[in-house]
Amino acid sequence: MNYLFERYKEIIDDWDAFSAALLEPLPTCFWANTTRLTVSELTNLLRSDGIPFQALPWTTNGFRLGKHIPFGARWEFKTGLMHIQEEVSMMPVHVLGATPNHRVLDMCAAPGNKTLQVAVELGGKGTVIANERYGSRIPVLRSATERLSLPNISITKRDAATLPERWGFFDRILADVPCSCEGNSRKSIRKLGRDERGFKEKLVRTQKQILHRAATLLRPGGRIVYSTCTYAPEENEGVVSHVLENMKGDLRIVPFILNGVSFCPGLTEWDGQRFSPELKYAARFYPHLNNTGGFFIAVLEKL
Amino acid sequence: MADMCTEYPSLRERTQLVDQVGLRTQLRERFGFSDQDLSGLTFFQSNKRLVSVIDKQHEPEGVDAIQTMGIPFVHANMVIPKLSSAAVFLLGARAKKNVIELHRVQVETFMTRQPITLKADGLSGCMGNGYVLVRHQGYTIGVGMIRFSEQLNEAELESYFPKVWASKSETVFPC
Repeated sequence: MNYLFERYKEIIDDWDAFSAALLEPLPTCFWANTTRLTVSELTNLLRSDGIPFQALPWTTNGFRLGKHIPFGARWEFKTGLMHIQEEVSMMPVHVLGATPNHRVLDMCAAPGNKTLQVAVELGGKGTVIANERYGSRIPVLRSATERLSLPNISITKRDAATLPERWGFFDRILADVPCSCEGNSRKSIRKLGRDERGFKEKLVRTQKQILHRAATLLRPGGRIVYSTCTYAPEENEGVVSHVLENMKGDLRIVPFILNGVSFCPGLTEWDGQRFSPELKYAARFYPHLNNTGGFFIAVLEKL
Repeated sequence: MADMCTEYPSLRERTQLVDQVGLRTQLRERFGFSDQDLSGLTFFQSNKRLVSVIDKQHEPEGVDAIQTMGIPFVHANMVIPKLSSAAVFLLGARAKKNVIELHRVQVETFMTRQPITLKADGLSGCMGNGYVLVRHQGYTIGVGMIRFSEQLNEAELESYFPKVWASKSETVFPC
């Protein structure tokens, strides 16, 4: 499968380890719905059934299963006491740092795992606006909201790139934008064939518009997390650098820490193109570093 | 680009369409929910058939194109309110009566929407036929309908566990 990613060979620190990791199945990870029970109550339920798992080092509410079992069939999942989510996909919400007094916007919400995470972090209180452009993806988001019984979410249907200013300012914005999904190859390679030039260019244009819109809707002092599940610098550093330049110093990238997690700094140049030096504070997650999917995260604050 | 958004009537307007006192009274009488249990929530009419609930601190002002706000709570205009599964997950831990505890094997049956026969002797917390909240190991897992048979000294629990969750064996959206 690594032939799909040959163009990244020079930026990936250990190509052989990367290639080997792509062939391994992804571990199943999960978190407790702390609006319904405590983390220790959930772990006690699972332990009493002999389910092997280990705590993730960077969060107090995240676990990795010790073996492959049909975890989604468990009663704790079906009744919303817990939720299943890929480990690296949990990280953007963790670094978003939302608290109960924050007004939060998830710009590209479906299937909704990160929306649910934010809503739970807010204790089921306050305001989470979960926006999704495509109506066909909203039922999945709605169903998950009901299963986890979270009464602090409104679901909207709009193009994230044109969200109106009358929506008001938000304290925290998650821009987990549509991308080429290269980092999901351990789950599915279905989407990876679409590398034709027009597709990628259109995608990058959309990503820039969405991040720029996020910056417009962000309250001064607020925070955006821009994330993708792709390795492509055009969709990651290229987009963030473009918006930083357009915002003329109103936006900056801030570093973040995830205890026990390895990642590579964002690129400051690629294929002859220079990006903002601040991109070194962004993070690239490769599958072999933490046994996850591939991901990119940049945390931005508005001055 | 033309504004294609749809207007969503204000939350205040929709809240006024719900008989707040009547609903709270029914909830208190059937399940023992106190006013304090319900104090952080706003009930509102989300469509002709449904009353939904949202956190009182939720501030969607200015936001349009809303498809769904909060979670479904109860079917509107029912003589005896049937709570949604989302509603019982939200409030079930605070219910004081008409609650049934199932053991593990019964849980599997309940989640596949099959009826369960229970000994009436073990149902002292139930006030006769009607909707009940169902728990396992103290956690609310759904809503059902109990019907007593005095002659047989037993009762049948009909499961209202949602079909869509009953059939899922694995989430397919882990990212």
